[in-house]
Parts: sequence; structure tokens; C-alpha cells
Amino acid sequence: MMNAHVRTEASEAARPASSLLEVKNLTTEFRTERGTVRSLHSVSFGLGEGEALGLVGESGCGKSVTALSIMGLLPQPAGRIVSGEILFNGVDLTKLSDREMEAVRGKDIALIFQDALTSLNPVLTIERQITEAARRHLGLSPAAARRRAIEFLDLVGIPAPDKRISDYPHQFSGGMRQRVMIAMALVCGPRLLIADEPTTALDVTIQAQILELLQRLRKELSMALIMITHDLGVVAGIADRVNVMYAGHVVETGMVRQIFKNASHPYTAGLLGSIPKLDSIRGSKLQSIKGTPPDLANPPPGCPFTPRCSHAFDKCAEPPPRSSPEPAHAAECWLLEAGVNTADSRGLS
Amino acid sequence: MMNVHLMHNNSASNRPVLEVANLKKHFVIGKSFFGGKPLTKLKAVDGVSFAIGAGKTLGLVGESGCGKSTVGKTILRLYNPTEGSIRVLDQEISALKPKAMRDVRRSLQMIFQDPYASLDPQMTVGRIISEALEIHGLPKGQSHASRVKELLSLVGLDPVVANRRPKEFSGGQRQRIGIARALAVEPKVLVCDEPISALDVSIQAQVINLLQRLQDELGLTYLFIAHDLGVVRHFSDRVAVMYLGGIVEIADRDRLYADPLHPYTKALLSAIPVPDPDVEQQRRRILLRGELPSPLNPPLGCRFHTRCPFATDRCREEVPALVAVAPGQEVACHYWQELRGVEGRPNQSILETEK
Repeated sequence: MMNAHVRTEASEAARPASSLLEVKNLTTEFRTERGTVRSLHSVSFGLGEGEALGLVGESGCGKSVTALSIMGLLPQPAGRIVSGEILFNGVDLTKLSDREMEAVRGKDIALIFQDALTSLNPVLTIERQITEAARRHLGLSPAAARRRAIEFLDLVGIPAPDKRISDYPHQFSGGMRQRVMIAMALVCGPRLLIADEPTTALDVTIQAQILELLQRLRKELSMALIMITHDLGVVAGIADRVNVMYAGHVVETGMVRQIFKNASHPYTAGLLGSIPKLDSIRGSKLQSIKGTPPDLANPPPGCPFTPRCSHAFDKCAEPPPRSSPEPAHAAECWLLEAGVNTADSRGLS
Repeated sequence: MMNVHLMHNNSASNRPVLEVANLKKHFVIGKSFFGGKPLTKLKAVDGVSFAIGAGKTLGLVGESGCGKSTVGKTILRLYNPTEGSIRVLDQEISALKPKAMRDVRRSLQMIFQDPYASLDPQMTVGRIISEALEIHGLPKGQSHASRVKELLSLVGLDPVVANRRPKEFSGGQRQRIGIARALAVEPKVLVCDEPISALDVSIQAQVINLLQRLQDELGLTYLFIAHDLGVVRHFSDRVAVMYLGGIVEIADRDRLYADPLHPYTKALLSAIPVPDPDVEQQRRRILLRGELPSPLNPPLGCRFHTRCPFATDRCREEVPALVAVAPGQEVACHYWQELRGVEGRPNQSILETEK
């Protein structure tokens, strides 16, 4: 049964039937004082209409750079897309002019960040900020834009939206500001919402409110979602599919249950083992991953996880192929190629 | 004067190593222009009591602004307590002068959340650690260098790194340096203030494993302050839940997680995302309305009543005391018995009467 893996081309493993977004071999680099840093290495994935994709990984793994690349918001002039395609409804976003991209951004694809306070303009009322997008992208009159803004503030659970719309960002609490930012992102009815660590700065009870809200809105507005987070618990609750990223590579992709119940890449398994389980025995040792993530300016040859991997062997000095242990599930690891299932062997190491 | 030691008849090993009773820390916010009466009091910590036995860990959890970090800093006397008692190894330290406090800090040390801000970037790692030895008047010279090496190996770092500066280390390694510095004076009690929240998941696990090993090897007693209930559960013997400056529930770890009694504890536990899609898809979160009220103007009666789905008029008027309800479990709720086993079902009538 372990040998039932099938080698597939990079993007074929987990492609949904109708593709809203198709990222193909995306490679992004940054120029830094220490030379060129490759933040994304030929990243490929697809996203269907209304689907929720979780992008997980630790700091520097490339999950936010993926979002910025899609949005055309890479810091200039340091960051640039070296190669690859980002097809949104069949249109390659990397080929669009700044102006054309502006029309997509905020209208068809919206982005929300971790820190609502820095993404809202402190000297403008909420009304100005929400209606601006609605007027520009939807061509609404000021009165119609205001009505739509109030409707969306109500939708995200702001009490008394017709009054609060005249307030300034500082008059809202952290959780409420996050709601305002979500309303602002959604007001033009995007097909895709990218949420970059939207609940990381929030307390756990407020996080629960925002996660419920995103789940509800996704269904009500039948919108696709890319959820970027380091919190595997958040992903388990919201995502249909998960990409696990490490040092700029998508090392594993699969349906949410496949990732959590049958992790194939040693990094995914290590990440899951690092989290205290609810039934863990007090004082038991966590299965931590040794060492630290690689320096992206000077990555190891072959599989980027090799220096930290307890399964590493001589093959790992070469880039691993993408293998698919089951439909919709794929990982870049030589062990899979060799027919060894990491999920089975991880308890032994 | 230092030896206020009062050894009681009970065997010393059963006595708590750290004991806090009715601890209060109020901050005065602003003074009137002519220097008259203080304008507002922020009651960051308002009557907190707990005790930790030797070699044990108490987890102190709560959301931002609940006062958990202030409790830690007040115990270290980085803040002077407004009221209440702090006993460390049977010595009352709440009113000690700075010089006497320095001696106490040989037994009582702290690890901070931010490994980037808590290490002097100008000093080498060896200097950072040996400085702690000097301040506490420990033998100088050659023995310092060997002690530094010993401490670095103890926390899992290569002793050769003693010549390097903090910026050359990753977050997890810096946290190890911070732990080595705290351990330099061989303390008995460590106050860990969110020691892993700034770290990546795989690095968090390394630091948790390190802290556990050190506890086993050195018999350390921990006050572990954190907002992550999963980590606290893994790490603690007992857990205290704070809300707006007070403890609402304190219990042995397994009891608290298996049978939480306070509605806030229940909501908090139900809100933790669990890394298991099956659990996540079936669970029902108890969604609390609204957010933490301002500690400048805390609600009257039960502090939690503005967000509690079960609040009644009594809760709005009468402050519930923290009472023992089962062996090892105390809760501050008027209705803990009625609510036993009840999930946090929002009470519509209450939802409507309050905004």
C-alpha cells in the first residue's frame, strides 16, 4: 500500500475542478544587502471557486510573499517575480500593468492583514475609507456607497453601523477594527479574499469571533479564501485544503484531513508534533524539530529541510521530486519517492 | 534583617515556595494639573492569591490586559505592590528595600517574552551571563568563565558562542541565553512571562522541552504566564485563569480542562483552535459577546458579567468570592453549581437587554 504513490507533475496533484486561481511555478526574489534572496521556489497550487486554502509555515517560509506576489504588492524595487504565472480567471496577473492590476486589487481579490490599525488611515473616518473602494470599483454614487458600506458593517457585526460609520479607526477596539477591515475588503464583492494572519494579534476569544465571521461570510458570499497562518489549529477549522510551506517551497499539499491525519513530509509531521496535544501527559516531551530554519540567502542544496530532518539520507542533497501518496495529496520528499511513509515512521525516530 | 525566616513546624518541603495573598497593583493614571489628587486608578491586579509548591508549575492564563504579566512583575518587585503579601521561601518580600530585594532575586528570577529586547545588544553572551554573577557578588575571575560555559551547555548552546553578540542568534537561541542568564544565580523560582509567544512553533517546542528538563534537573518552581492554553496545559500542575485583574478559577490542571466551572474558563477553553480537523468541524465555540472592558472602568459586581451569557441582576451587583468547590478547585461565580456541565448557550434575553 505504501508503494501506491504516483509521480505527478507539480500542479496536477491537487487541482480542483473549476479553477479560480492557478499559481504556476512562481519564483520570487528579493534583493538585499546580503545578495539575492529567493523567497519562493517554483510554487504551484490551484484554488477553486469558493474554496478555502490554508497556507501554513513558520516565519520566513514565504507564505506572506505568496500573498504579496498574487496581489502585485511586492515591495519595490527590492522584490520581483522572476518567473511563473498567476492565473486568475484565466488572466495572468504577472502580465498586467499597474493600472490593470489596480482594477483587480480590492475588487476581485482583497487582502486583509494581521494589524488592522496600520492598514486603516487614522485621520479618515471609516465612511471615507469604505466608500472610496465602493465608489471607485463599483461606480456607486456617494449615497449608494454609504448604504452599501453600512450594509457591510452590519454584515461583519458592527453594532449601530449607521452611527459607527462616522467614527475614526482609533475609536474601535482591536477586534472591531479587524471587522471594519474585513468589511472594507468585502465591500466590492471580491471572488477571493486573502487573509494574512488575520487573528494573530487578537486574544483567543476575539479570534474565535473573527474566525466564525470569516467562515460565515465565505459561505454567504460564496467567496474563495486563502488563509495564511502559523497556527495549525486555525487552519484545521477553516481550510478545505492546506499548503505547508518551508523555506520558500510548498513541501506538502493536501486536503485538510490528509495533512493532519496522514502527514507525508517530515516537516509537516514535526510541526504537528511540536504542538502540545490536549491529551498529552504533563511533563511528556514534545516532538520538537531540531535546529532552526535555513538562511534564505544561503539555502542548503537539495531539500531545504535536510539539516533539520531526522530522516535525512544521501539522496536529500538533490531537490526532491513531488510524489503523491494518494489523490489530492502530494509532498516533496525523497522518502515518499522511496516508498517510505513518514507518518508511520515518525514515532520511531 | 534579611533573615525574616519563620520556619514553622510543618515539614519544609510541603510549604509553598512562592505564596501570594490578596496581591493588588493599582497604577495611577495622570495627576491633576496642580498636583492634587490622582485622577484615575487602573486596578491592573486586584486581589490575587495563590501558592506554588517546590518543583511545581502554576500556569497563569488570561487575555491581554487581564493583569497576568503585572502579577509576575510585581512578584519580582519590578513594580511595588499596592497591597497584599508576597512570600518567597517563607520570606515576606512585599516591602523589602531594593538592596534586600537584590538578595531575594538570587532565588527569584524572571524570563521575559521578548528575547530580542531583553538582551543588551552591545554585550557578548558571556558578558551578559557573567554580569548576573557579578551583580550577585559571586566569585570573580576564572570561575566565571567556566560557570558561563557550564550554563550555556545546560541550556543546549555550544559554549564557544560566549564571545558572540545577541544579534548573531535566532529567537529561540536568544531565549536560551535569557534562560542561562536567569539560571546563573541558581534561583529556586522562575517567573516565565510568555517565554515562547514570540517564537515559531517548532522552536516553541524546543524551549518548552528545555524548561521541562531544567525543572526536572534543578528542581525549579515555575510561575508560567501565558495566553496559550494548550501550552499551559502541557506544562502546568495547576492553572489559574485571570480576568480583569482577578483570578476567576484556579484548579489542578486535569480538573480545569476536564471540568471547567467558570463561564469564562469554559469560553476560553472552547475558543482554542485545535489542530485536528475532526475536532474543529464538530466543536461548538462558546462565543463571548464583546471584548474585555477597560480596567480603568471595570464593571461593578462580577467583572465578567458584561460578557457572560448567564449574567443575572445578582451578578451585576454582588462580587463573587473565589471559593473552594472541590478538592484543588476554586471558582468565583455565583452560579457555578447551576452551570455545571452546561455549555455556554447564549441567553437571548440578556443579549437584548445589554448592548
